[in-house]
Amino acid sequence: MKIVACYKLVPEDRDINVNSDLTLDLSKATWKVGDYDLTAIEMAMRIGEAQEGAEVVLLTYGGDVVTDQKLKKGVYARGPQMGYAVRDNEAFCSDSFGTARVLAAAIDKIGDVDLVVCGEGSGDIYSQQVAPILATLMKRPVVNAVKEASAEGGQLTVKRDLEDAVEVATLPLPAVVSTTSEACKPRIPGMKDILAAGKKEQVVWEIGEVLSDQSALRKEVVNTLSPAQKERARTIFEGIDSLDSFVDALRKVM
Amino acid sequence: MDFSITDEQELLLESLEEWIEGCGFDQRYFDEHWEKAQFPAEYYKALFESPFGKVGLPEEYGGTELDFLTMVLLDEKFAELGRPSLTTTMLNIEDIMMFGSEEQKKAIADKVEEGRLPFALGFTEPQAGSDSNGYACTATRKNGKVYINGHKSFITNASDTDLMLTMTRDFSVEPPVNAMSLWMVPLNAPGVKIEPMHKIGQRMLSMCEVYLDNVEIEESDLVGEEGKGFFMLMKNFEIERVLIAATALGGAKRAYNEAVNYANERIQFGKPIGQFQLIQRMIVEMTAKIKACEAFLYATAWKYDQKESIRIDSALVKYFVTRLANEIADDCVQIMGGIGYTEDSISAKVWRDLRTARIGGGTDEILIHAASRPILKEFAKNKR
Repeated sequence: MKIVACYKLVPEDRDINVNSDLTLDLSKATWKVGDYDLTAIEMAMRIGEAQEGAEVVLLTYGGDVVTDQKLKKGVYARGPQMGYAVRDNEAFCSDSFGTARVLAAAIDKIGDVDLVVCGEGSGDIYSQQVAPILATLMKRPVVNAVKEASAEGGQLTVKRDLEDAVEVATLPLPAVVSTTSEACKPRIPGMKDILAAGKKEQVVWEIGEVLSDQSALRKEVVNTLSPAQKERARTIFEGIDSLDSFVDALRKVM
Repeated sequence: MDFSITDEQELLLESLEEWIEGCGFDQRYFDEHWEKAQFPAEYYKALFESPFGKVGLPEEYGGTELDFLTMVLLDEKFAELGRPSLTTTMLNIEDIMMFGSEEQKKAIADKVEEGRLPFALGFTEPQAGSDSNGYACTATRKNGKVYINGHKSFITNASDTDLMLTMTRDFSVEPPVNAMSLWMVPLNAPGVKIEPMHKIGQRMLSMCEVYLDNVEIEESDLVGEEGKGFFMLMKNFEIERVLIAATALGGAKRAYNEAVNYANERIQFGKPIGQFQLIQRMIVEMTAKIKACEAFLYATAWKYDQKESIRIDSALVKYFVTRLANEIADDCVQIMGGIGYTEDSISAKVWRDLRTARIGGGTDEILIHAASRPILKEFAKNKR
């Protein structure tokens, strides 16, 4: 059984500065693996470890940062045997559909993939769309918001938390799933895992090697703006008699 | 000269932060244990089961061998994050791996595996701390057994572990440096009495008086070579002093992080107090001290990894770093003002805990004594 766990490298939130025109300044941002994706990797590992001979591999798509050695060691130390990276200097121009297209092409190139596990959403845009689009492009069944999963006899059994029930579903493999953010706690790598991660293979494909026509990937990003911050009004309404004026004031700002 | 930290070291420190954040022991847990002067046994059990618990233990004993610099970085990070560190275990492992028998090495590795503190260090006595001539604890052979008699003082962790590496003296041998031996003494054996003392800081780790009255042990409990205990003690000190410096620096950084943030947030006279030059001076001095401590500490650990002697450097680095760490903590309390003298302030806790770093493992004064003689001797030999 071959399982692909997908991850995206995203800018560290606390390093993002907002410029005076509300655009985002990422120039000082360090990069990290999206937190939701670490959960997906852990779920892939748990499914894989329960299957004798299963192989868990990683897949990412992004700019030059995909080959950053420290980031690579950090994520490969979470357990997978090896991984693939698709490098594209214009990856930031790709939306969820574009990303799903690249991943679908890469998974096809990897070959014989039984299961793809994605995180709840990316750590930056968080559109939660890549997994379902990917499954549609690959013509495979998909379930999102999975909190537990196990594979047996060519089938995947998943559990999902609904509002007042737990849904148990089975889907035939090959399939695509995305996890909930709290599905499982990512394992913490120790020194042995970190040292071993440095030796694990990462196959790097340039975007052209995966997808010959990239025109559909390129979107023009008009702007990405931070919501305008407003100073607190610090208006205090005292006593029950001021209730009406309090409601009026709320209405004015809403 | 390469001052960079490796990817692996950086990732390991990130892993430690992640473990501490998710390990389930919050500040309240530690505050309660501190208040009750109670050993955080559940935390240590979880820590020993984590990827960090067996650092320093060779692979053949199920551990992860690490270079000393990485161990120092880890120990410092524990303290910076405000969590009890692995100083004792790292030191225990180093001691036993250097001097212990195969059986003793295995026994210590098993204890770490089970999540228990390996052993306490039973060196100091009422009349013998830095003055090794004062040791009075004895080991006497009778009918194929060994009997230990004496009184050990200020013994860290004695009430929370079941073994003590005990220094004894053979009064028939002169000079005293050739008369010392180390024995692993079970603390639950008949004849052992343990009395915890009340400390003003570091309250989660006990400090005890240990009375040994005809405690029967086996010949196989001898650690290392008989009569070489003093030299083993000196080797132990080299490691211990560097690790104490590492935790002191981590603690100082923890207080510093709080105080500098506070300087940016606390408004007086219409502006943050960090805008005032008297506060700025403290911040600048603290920052420079931290950088100097880092450089000296890491260089000493690196030197040990290169198999160079750190006999003098370990004394110098402990003297230098623990003094500056105390000064930093004191400045942090000053910056924090009234709140810095309350139980709610990190700086106050660090200030209280750090004071002992200038005493345990060799006082400032004995470190000066240990380091100054070889420096003067070297100059007398080779004038510069």
